[in-house]
Amino acid sequence: MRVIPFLNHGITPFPIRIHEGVEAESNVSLMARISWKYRMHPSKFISDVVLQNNASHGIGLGRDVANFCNSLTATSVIVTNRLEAITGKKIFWPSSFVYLSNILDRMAHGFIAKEKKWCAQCYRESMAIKRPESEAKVADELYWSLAISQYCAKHLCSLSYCCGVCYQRQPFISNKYEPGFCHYCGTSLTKAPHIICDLDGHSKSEAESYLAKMDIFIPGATEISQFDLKILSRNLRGLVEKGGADGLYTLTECFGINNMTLKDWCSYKHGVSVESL
Amino acid sequence: MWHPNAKFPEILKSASDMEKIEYFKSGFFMKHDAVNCAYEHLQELFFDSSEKDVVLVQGPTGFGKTCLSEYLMREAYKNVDVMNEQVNELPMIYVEADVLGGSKFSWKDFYSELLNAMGELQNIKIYGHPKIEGSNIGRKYLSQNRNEISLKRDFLSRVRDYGVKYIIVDEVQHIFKYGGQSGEKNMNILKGISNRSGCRFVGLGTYEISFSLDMSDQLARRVGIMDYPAYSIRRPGDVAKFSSAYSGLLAYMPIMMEPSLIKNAKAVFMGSCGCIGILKEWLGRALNMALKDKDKVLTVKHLDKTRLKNNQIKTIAEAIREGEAFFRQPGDDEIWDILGGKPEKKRNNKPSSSRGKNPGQRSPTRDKVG
Repeated sequence: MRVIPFLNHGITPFPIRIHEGVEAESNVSLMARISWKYRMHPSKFISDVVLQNNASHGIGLGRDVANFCNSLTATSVIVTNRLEAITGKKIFWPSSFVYLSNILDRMAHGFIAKEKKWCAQCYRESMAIKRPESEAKVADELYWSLAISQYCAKHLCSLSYCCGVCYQRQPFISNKYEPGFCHYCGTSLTKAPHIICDLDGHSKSEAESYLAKMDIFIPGATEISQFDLKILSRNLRGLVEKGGADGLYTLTECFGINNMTLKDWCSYKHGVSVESL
Repeated sequence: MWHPNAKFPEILKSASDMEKIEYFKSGFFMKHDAVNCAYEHLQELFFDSSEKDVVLVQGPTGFGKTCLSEYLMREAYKNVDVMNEQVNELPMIYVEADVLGGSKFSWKDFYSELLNAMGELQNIKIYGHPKIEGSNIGRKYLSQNRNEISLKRDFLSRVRDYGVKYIIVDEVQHIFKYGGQSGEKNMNILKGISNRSGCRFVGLGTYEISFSLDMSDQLARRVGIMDYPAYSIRRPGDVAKFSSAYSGLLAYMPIMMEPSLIKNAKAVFMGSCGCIGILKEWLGRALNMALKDKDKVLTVKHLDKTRLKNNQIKTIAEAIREGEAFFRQPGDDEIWDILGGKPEKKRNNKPSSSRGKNPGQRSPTRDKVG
């Protein structure tokens, strides 16, 4: 890090504005915006500056980068801290799922989506805002990177997963085009196919009920500090005891999980995998 | 004995020679009278008024540019909130204008230096600005390196990001030293950068600035020039001020010294031509020699041995004289005369006694008579 001559204070190398219109921007999205603004190859930027491992080929910009940076692993914590240091901004919103590390099973697979998902309407609104020319026009919400995410919490429309012109699925960060445009043909991702729920009452209520089920992943929907497996285990044990001899059976029926999984949860053996929720 | 008002940290008394030398080289900041005067003058001429975009501070070599730069930087950052010793705002940046081979000043390198001064990392490649290929197509990452225009755009963008207001350019004479009209052209470019970015420049350099810069009246109006002279024997009180600065520097030397050293100011004045920068380097060399020779006490002998050669001192003294002559202010009468306040002397058309002959006409006194 460069220092100011005579004073020895470090200079924040990549100052960047908070993206207007995004509730909880993911680490991956923030890195994509920094790479674009400062015109660095995203893969090299992530490996050399963020992860500081100087990998000769950089890091994969598909699922790899999201697994490293948006999930609930120790690397995600390192990435968040490093992004705070290089941008000089305190990231006060959840930019990875680390806040769920007390309850979710760290070893569970299939948590992060294989390809990028986005809300075409959010992108359209974001692109309409006038920003400095060098800056990225869009940013991604953290919950879009979940494998189970299907709807936009703001517009209640379905999330898009392919380009509207070439129908190609998108990597999380493009190393060819600026954020918000197709990695393959450069078309705006605002044109991606999606279902607008306002037109169909049934779809709207379906989206609302789906989003209500996964509210722990959506910023502002629930209090983050209450997520703790210890509390969950204690509550489950209480429920099993209240249910008497059939308590365990009744709960497994209710949750749609098997006996062993519930016993593991009650004994605080491992965290909850997303599919079990 | 140790200096009676020693100002270095006590721990340095038992530190290694390298640490002592390093400390004296760059471990402290001492503000002397000339720096105070220059700062006040700059404040009045430049910082308190928005009239000039660029101010050029000139003085002899080793006159204390670094010290003045450091003072300006310390003043600029005294109110900046430093979170975890990391700064997001840069009210003032410091760069050195580098001189490279070539027939003209490299603005590309200068922009790179400015970007470095604003924290740009060196270990990662930054590409050129993308081109817009169509209204519905996204901009593409370029694989080309940045050119001068791209660097300039980046510089302007970073200036906005960091809120830079002032840029100190050390060794600014390097920008103007290229011959012909390029000095003035480069000055115009600098003024243009100032207009575009909203930053104001403080250039610090030697008297070469004035020798190589012939400014138009338009430029002269927008660019301030300030003299920052060495301490002079001719100016009353300067020798005393120099002695005080000399004693101040000795107070930062982490070595014992003989008492006569402190009273040696007059000889030291000559050896450094009244320039504190030259004096500090000289004392640094003396300290280095004393420590290398395992001498526990710094003596006049060390100073004598490490003094600049007389021909070097003479060259510096001459440069000071020339520079000061350049900055001599014309009297009111002289300006009045130029403006036509006094009738011009009529040319005497009558031939003078010595030149009253036509060419070829011989002077009788040159020919022998008889």
